[in-house]
Amino acid sequence: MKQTLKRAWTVTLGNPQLKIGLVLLCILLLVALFAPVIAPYDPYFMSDELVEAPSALHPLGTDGLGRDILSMLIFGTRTSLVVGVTAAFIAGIIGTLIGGVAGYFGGKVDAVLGELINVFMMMPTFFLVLIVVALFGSGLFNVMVVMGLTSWVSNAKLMRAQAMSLRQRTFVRSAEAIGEGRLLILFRHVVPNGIFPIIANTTMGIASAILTESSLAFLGLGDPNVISWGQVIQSGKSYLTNGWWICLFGGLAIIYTVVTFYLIGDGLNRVLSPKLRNLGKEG
Amino acid sequence: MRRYIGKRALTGLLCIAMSLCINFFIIHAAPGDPIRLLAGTDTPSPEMVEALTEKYGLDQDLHIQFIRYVGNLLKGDMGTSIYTNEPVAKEIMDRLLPTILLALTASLTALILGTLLGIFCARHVGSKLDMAFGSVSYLFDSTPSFWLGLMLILVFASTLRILPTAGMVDLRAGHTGFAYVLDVAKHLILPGLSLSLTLIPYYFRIARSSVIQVMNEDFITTLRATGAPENFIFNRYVFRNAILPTVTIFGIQLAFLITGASIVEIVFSWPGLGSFMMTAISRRDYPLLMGIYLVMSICVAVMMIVVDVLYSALDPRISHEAQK
Repeated sequence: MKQTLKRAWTVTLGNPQLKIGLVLLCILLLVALFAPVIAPYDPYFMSDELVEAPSALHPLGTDGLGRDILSMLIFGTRTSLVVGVTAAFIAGIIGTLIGGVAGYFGGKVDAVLGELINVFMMMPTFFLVLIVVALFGSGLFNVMVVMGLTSWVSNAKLMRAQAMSLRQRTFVRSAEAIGEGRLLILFRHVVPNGIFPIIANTTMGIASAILTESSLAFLGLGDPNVISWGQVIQSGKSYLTNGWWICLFGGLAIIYTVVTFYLIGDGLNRVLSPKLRNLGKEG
Repeated sequence: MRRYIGKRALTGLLCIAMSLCINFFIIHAAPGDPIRLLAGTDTPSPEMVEALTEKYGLDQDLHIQFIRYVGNLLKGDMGTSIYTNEPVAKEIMDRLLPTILLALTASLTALILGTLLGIFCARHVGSKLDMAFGSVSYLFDSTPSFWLGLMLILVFASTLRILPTAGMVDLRAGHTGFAYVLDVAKHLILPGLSLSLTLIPYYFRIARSSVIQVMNEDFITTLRATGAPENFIFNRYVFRNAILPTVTIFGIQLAFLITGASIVEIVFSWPGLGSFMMTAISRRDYPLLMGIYLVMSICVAVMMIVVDVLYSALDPRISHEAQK
């Protein structure tokens, strides 16, 4: 076990994407965790300084309601991370279940679930999310669940392929031969052994969920009660010419976070696919 | 081949049917009374209630309502917009063309630029330029297109004042003929750019990795061993094989761009389906909303099928595999 961790550490250090991504993520997590300590102002406090350019008092300026942009962005980190991780996690679980069942059981089950996957691949999901959020209300919970429910397809495709190949492997066949239950085999052998690409893909999913959430907030369909980066950009849209800093910094915060998760996801993809399997065997 | 087309068409039909069900389900599951949703007011007149109940069969069982809803659709009746009182189908058709124009322009630009950059980097793997383009591609991949649009407006329209920022034509100028086309093209630059810049990374990465992959194949090594010139090998063999994945990606991207362009349309007040959708949402115009979603689903499904068929025609291995 100790050796596995040590190898994982060396592999991480050997992959520049993963290394940079993890450093960026640590900064992000610290900002989210210590938001009340770092933020110079209360993000909801409306001061008399409206649309003030960046200065020593307000490092990133203020918005149209006199709120401090830096503080809003710091607190927005929490929203983005919570939404991104939850939505991607839901999508990961649904995708693993549907893909695993389809790939492992095969036959008629696969015919039905495989077709379901194909059908969902063709769906314009962003519009679906838009409609559902517009009709059912734009609370943070709704947004996260709807995004999770509509973005599982790529995970399911990956898991299905994994399960189909694992089904043929000796250890799964042996388990079948000694009469273990099929569901037990699926969850004990197939899913744990085939989960690596889904982990990498889910990390990418966090990035796209954060982008989708910011788009929704930009369209005015985000949760009005929490501060999010998309909302900051939306509020800055009307001050574009005389308050460029509102939009600019909001967007940079989104890019920073999305790049972080793309880097980690890409790094994981490169590291996990051939090497970590060897790691597991030796450790 | 024919069987393959049939199979994909079936999936497409299923997808459209599923969108229909979701449409129907959403309207019925939404908080509030469907009559109020369909009428667009909290206090519909008794005549209105009666007319809507009659039209959608709201006093009947749910499955009969569903059959009636599908029946209306098959007759080409997608309902009437609450706000403008025009048939939904007509309103949508007016808006579809600008969206397709924007999506197609942005996709084609991204396809050409991204593929060229990708090929260039693949032929110079590990060079400084390769690394630089690779890093920049991460950045643009992570940039929200609406924010990029706002920044482009800031730079090109507000500061430099050289390009229009809103709409598709200059209504005051009243151009006709060639001048009209030029005017549309001028309005197309900024929204097209903000969309295509975020799409280039996809094509870049696909083209780069597939060129690298093909260049490492055995038959290329054999060709090199025969002493064929590198450029000849590339143009004749590598390019043709490496371009195939880009074609698929192009189709899928284009299909989803019909919906993905919406947010950029809103930034630039482009008169397409996306900005229309937002208007429908803010006016709570449910029949229109449902109609737009349905048309979008059909567009995406049709395009995905066309792409699959094209792809299997270009690469015979695919349709053979499907027949097994």
